[in-house]
Amino acid sequence: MAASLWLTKDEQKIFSALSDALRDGWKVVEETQVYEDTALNQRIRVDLTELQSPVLKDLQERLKNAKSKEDFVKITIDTDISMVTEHDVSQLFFMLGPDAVTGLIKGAIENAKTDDDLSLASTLSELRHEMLASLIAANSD
Amino acid sequence: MLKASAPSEARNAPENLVHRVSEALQEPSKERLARKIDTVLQKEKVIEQLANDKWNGDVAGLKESLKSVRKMAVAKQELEQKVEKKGIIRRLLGYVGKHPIKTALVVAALAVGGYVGWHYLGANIMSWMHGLSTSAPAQVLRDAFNAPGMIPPAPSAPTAPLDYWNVPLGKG
Repeated sequence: MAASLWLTKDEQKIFSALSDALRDGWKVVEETQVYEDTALNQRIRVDLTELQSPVLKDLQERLKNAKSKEDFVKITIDTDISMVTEHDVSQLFFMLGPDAVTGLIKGAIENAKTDDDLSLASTLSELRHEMLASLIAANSD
Repeated sequence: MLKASAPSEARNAPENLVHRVSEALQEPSKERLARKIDTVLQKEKVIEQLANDKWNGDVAGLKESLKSVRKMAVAKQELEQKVEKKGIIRRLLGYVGKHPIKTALVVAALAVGGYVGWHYLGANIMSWMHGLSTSAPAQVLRDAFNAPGMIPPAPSAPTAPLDYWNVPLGKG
């Protein structure tokens, strides 16, 4: 069974420009859901975010001792977040919102060189699909 | 009659309701989220009362804000259940160490901690996401930290900028 990519019309154009070999085995499903995000909704999502991973808490602690913006950049870039929990990743993607996930999907397709790159795009597109459905459903009540 | 004086009263001021409700909704247990949504509904009743008391603040605005909090909390709860059931986040875990996923998640975490002004990045999300795909991680982070609203780094003696306006010119 072919793996699916939920892509908007614009994203489908980018996908079409990839090589035949790379596109082989992928089924494109059109993403038609539209959700207009607002500054208030973004602020609410930030407020609703709850992080538990020690690695993220440790990062925030270390940043308190940063002496300059370059220190901020170095401390952040050197932080290994591979131990971040599934819970926190879920929280952070929801906080970022569907537009940010769209940006990541677009980048993933534009820069795709392997099937693994498209797997990332596929999973992100599935996340966006479910996120849009949840946001739209909650707002239609 | 509403009045604002002592800190505890200020916390109870209607303009702080939205923030307080958002704060209350941060309890980690998913099971308690429904109860917290009920809390939001109770706050809506308080606002109704405020409207009846002819409080001259933005009652309609507060009501809308609370509705938005409730809707977002419901959407969040529903999404968490779906992504867990389908294993979506589990599949993404293998990519969290890679730029730009890592950079996006870290900046989001820093925005939650108040280190990055999300009101600015959020409003410019698409251009920021474009930068994520086209710039080196250090540059993306530098841009994020340069965005308005960031917590300034703690000053240190050798690198603190000189305040030229107040440079002492000798004993006058």
